[in-house]
Amino acid sequence: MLNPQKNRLILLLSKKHSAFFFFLGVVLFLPLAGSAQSRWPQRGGAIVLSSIGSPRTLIPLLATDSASSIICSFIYNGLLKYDKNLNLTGDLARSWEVLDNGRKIIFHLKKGIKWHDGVEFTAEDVRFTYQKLIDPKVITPYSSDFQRIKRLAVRGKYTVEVIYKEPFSPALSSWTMPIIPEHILKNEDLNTTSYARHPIGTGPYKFHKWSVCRGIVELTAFKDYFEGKPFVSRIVFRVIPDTATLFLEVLTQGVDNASLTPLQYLKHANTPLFRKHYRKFTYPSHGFLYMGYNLNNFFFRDKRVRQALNYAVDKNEIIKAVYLGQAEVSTGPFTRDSWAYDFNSRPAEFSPLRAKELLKQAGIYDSDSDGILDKNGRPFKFTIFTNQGNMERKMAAEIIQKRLADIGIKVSIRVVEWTVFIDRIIKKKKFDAVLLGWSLSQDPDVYSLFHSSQTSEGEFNFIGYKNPEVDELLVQARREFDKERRKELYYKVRRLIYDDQPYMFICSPYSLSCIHKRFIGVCPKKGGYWYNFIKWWVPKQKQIHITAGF
Amino acid sequence: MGKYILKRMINLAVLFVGITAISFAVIKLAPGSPAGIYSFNAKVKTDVSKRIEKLYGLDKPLWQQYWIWFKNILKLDFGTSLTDGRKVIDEIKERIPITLGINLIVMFIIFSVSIPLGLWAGYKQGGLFDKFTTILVFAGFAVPSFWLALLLMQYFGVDLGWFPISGLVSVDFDYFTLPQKIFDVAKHLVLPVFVASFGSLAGLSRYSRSKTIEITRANYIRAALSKGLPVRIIVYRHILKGVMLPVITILGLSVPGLLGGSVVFETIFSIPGMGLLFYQAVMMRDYTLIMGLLVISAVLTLIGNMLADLAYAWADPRIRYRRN
Repeated sequence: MLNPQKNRLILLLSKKHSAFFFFLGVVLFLPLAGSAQSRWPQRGGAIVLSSIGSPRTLIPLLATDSASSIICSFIYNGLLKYDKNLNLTGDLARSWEVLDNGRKIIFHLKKGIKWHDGVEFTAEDVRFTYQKLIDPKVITPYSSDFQRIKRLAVRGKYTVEVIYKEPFSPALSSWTMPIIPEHILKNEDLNTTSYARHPIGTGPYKFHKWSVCRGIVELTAFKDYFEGKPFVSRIVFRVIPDTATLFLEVLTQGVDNASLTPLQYLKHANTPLFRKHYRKFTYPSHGFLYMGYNLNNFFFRDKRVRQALNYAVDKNEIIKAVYLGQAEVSTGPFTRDSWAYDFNSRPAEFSPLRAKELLKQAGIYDSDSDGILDKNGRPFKFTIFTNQGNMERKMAAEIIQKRLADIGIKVSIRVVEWTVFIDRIIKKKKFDAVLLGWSLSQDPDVYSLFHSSQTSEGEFNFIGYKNPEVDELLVQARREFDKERRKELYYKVRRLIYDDQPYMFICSPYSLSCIHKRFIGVCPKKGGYWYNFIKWWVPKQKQIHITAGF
Repeated sequence: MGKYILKRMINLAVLFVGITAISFAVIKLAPGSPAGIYSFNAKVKTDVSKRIEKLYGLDKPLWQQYWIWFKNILKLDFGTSLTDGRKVIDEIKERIPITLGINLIVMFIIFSVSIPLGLWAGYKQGGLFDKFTTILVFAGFAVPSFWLALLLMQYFGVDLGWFPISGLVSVDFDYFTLPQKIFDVAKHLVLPVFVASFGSLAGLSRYSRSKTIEITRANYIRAALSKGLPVRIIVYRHILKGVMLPVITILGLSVPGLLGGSVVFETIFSIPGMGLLFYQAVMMRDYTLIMGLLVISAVLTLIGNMLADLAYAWADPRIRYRRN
């Protein structure tokens, strides 16, 4: 499917400053003249991307929907970013220092970076962004990481000093937050400003047009981008709300990149026509599917019961039936692409016998021979709640239902509309079990999911998980800046959590996607393939869209 | 006539208040809360939803919220959307031309196809043409539009490559010349307009068919026939007139539909119209936007009804006199 060698070559060639390769290229390809021309990166063309929903705002501090966030990622930069191997590296910052046991972080900014309107980016913009993030009047959901900052000081034009109330290692990842321009927004109300629809950033692409009636947002390459002008001249985002339509658009080359469902990936996208135009990709996502138990429930209070359920459900069956094999069994909250993932972890085997044994130890067995297990006269029945609009979760719930029925547990399933699900079921903790998925950020801090302080209404430990040892480790990991030591802590956290089974960890589905073959330079790594987008290019004769801005 | 209009107006005002009050209550009582900002994200703080509630006064008692909202409506201020902070009226304004434009084309096609269809089928009642059109329009009525849409997209879009799959214009639209632009839009409209019209042929054509049958039996048509008038003239001059009169009512009733837009249809063809806007607003519990859209469609429905009544009263003196 992939041809890494070829890609590496092209990637190297695309570094236009490399004199050696230039020379090599001239020697090798000169005799071929015509055909050789397309081997060199050429500018122009467009990439068409799509999203299900229409973007809401292009102010990254306020954007929560994926359409807005993706568009913002082309327009803005953070101080730091994740590189192709998911390691933190400088973006607007040239370097950074962690001092005073992690209480102080100093960022040294790159010099000469320009906003799209030509004004220079400075430390004042960082301060401005920070002030907006902690401003109670700004409706930003991203404030919590920044409220841990005691003081943020600007030391000269290119240095920012951030002092935290206490060491907080996820802080570094929080500085991937895009920086917004002070000189434009200083007198604006972020919640209502019209800037949200014609933003200015420092990123490789600048905003060109947002046309609601045509359902598109268009960006064009920024010629003064500090890492070099991108080769592809336009990015067009189309809003395509229906997934069936989206796939038909892909078939007619109306969209260049799309994520695929397992069925599409294996079947519909396996035709000669599809393979002629598209490359398909599969890589681990940082999301996982789980069944969370309400730990105040009469049955689920007992750890042995939760362990028993883990034995009773065959995760591979779910992977096979629901994801057509395009997922892997998960053994904790960290997924394979995370540095906190323990490659030695093994999932519990599928064993209904062991499940029954454990349940018996917990005093749960069929005392009245009615086919349903019970304890103290209470039959073991419960309801799995899941949200509407997610077929996979519903199917997984049905398989769990069947497997638990096999060992004598009666499960019913309720599918609830999303906002109601959050408002009535999750927030009010009115559930026995929920089937949900988490998609976590690159930093493995799972404090908000499993720390016992995070259980009040609207917080994310809604299952009521409480383990003092895990609490302690999570706090320690948050204070630890050394990656290796932090990794050890998360290994321990995972082991404890997997043993406690507050969630039944089911699986982590793969990210499946496709991209049009005319783009050269696509080279998937751990962190996906977008990391080097500005180096992608399209040979002139294959540019199917009009080039603009060149 | 003046008294009649006045009476109708008072009636409408009362109805309007009733409609807004009920829809306000229903929407607020529906479970869930504005979800625009509240994505279920472990990195996202949930107190944001509380901040939103305060900012937009969602923490006040229901009747107070209604009163504030209603006062603003009278000043034609629909407020700002809870999800993106833009003026509701602006959001609606950018969507209206799309839905209205497409619906006008669709309606034009429905009228110009289904009335002649019904006329001929009715005049030649029981004939081959009648049977054929009956099957056709009922098939159109019965087939789910999303299914038909997908089939057509697959065949004409993917297999034959004649028409674009979705959207209203091409990605390179800005760089086209004017004739290219017109051709581009037309090409994009073929499938959606066909799907939207095909499903709606049944109602009007059946109606005009039965009306035609009724009129054909009338004495004056028999007289015209025996006078030796050509069939063409009888059908188009005498029967058509009789069929067209109640069409006024249908026209009036379709005014709100003109701006309504269908969610399924707009979703499938990626048309950013009113239907999609309304659907998304409901899913997000964007109260101000929902109410804005509801008020507009309520007002239009009421106006449409009134226009239909008035036009009818104007066209048919019997109604006017009976009411007075």
